[in-house]
Amino acid sequence: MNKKGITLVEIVISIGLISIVMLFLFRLLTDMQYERDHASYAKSNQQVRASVIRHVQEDFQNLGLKSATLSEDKKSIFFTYQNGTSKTLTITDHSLKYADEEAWEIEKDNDDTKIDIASITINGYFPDSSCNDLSSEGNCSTYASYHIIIPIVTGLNSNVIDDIEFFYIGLATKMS
Amino acid sequence: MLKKNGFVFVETMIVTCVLLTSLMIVYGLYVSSLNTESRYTRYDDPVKLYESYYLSKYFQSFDFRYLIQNIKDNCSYSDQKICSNESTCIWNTTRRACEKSYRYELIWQGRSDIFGNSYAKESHFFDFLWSSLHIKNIYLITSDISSVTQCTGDAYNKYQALCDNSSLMNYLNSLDNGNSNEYYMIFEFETKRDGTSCLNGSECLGYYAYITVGDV
Repeated sequence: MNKKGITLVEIVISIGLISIVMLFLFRLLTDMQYERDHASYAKSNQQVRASVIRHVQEDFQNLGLKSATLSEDKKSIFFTYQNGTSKTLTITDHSLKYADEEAWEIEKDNDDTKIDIASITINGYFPDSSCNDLSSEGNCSTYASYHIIIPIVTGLNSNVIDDIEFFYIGLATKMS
Repeated sequence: MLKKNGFVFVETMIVTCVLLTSLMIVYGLYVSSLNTESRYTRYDDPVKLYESYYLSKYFQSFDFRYLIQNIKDNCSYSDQKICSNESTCIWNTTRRACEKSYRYELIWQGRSDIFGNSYAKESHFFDFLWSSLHIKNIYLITSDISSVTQCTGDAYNKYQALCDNSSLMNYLNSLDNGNSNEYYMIFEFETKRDGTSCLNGSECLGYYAYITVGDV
């Protein structure tokens, strides 16, 4: 081994290797910081999401959903229940309000997190009117369903796990 | 004793290698914990739980025992079962269940598994639910899952169809053991990340939820 110290080539190789390590380290720390910030918003919004879903679905269970309709501007969903009551879910870009009972705010992070109001859909599936005819081959179930989807957009990515969805199956005779 | 004229090249190389190895281990653990976390968000999601609740109520509103019997009976008439995939089809599962007198593992992969030729009026509604909710399979297994999750030796032979589904086994391992008189009705949903259908298996993510049902 050369006892006079390290040569220029050795220094260059060492610096090169340490740079590679530092590069990985920097990337790892940046990733971890992003994930930490993002996880904080995601966790908060998941709690909001779970709360909205639980609140509305409990009414579906307890009162029985009769109908769900979407306003023309898509900013309100009107729920009519089988006991004759009705409630409205009011939606803005970053908030939801259900009747006068509860309101929720969607937190924004670096991405442009917001409710995609234009894409809100209500899919009702009901028996065909032709089902009185015994030979009919249409949907003749005694049940009907409602599937309401309120998409949440987080930046460019769309993740179904962020969306707020309500689902109900009930006797078709009690729904409209 | 270290030399007093600074680091030599070999020492620098060793330190760099140690740092690099440590970093790789930390990064591996970090990526693996991220993947686990991301997988766990697909377990028992509130939306999927409510969907499963209503689906379970819907199935049980029919003669649930009859539906189960319908599946069990299929094993005596195996030639009536049409199957596109021999390795995972209900025909093999139910036939094996009959041969070994095991009746705890039922997999529903579509309407005929559940309704057979009965309840024809439900066909359109059922197909609509199956496709719009992106259901892949419905499993009915005993809630005492300790024997199911072993997946070795006899347990593997007994629950092969379940053991071969590693995503499902990950989910089952996250559940607690229940009452042996009850059953778990486990719903396996499969979509792309954006919620659209994944038909060819690419970019598919599995979502799981379970509902406990009484002794069937």
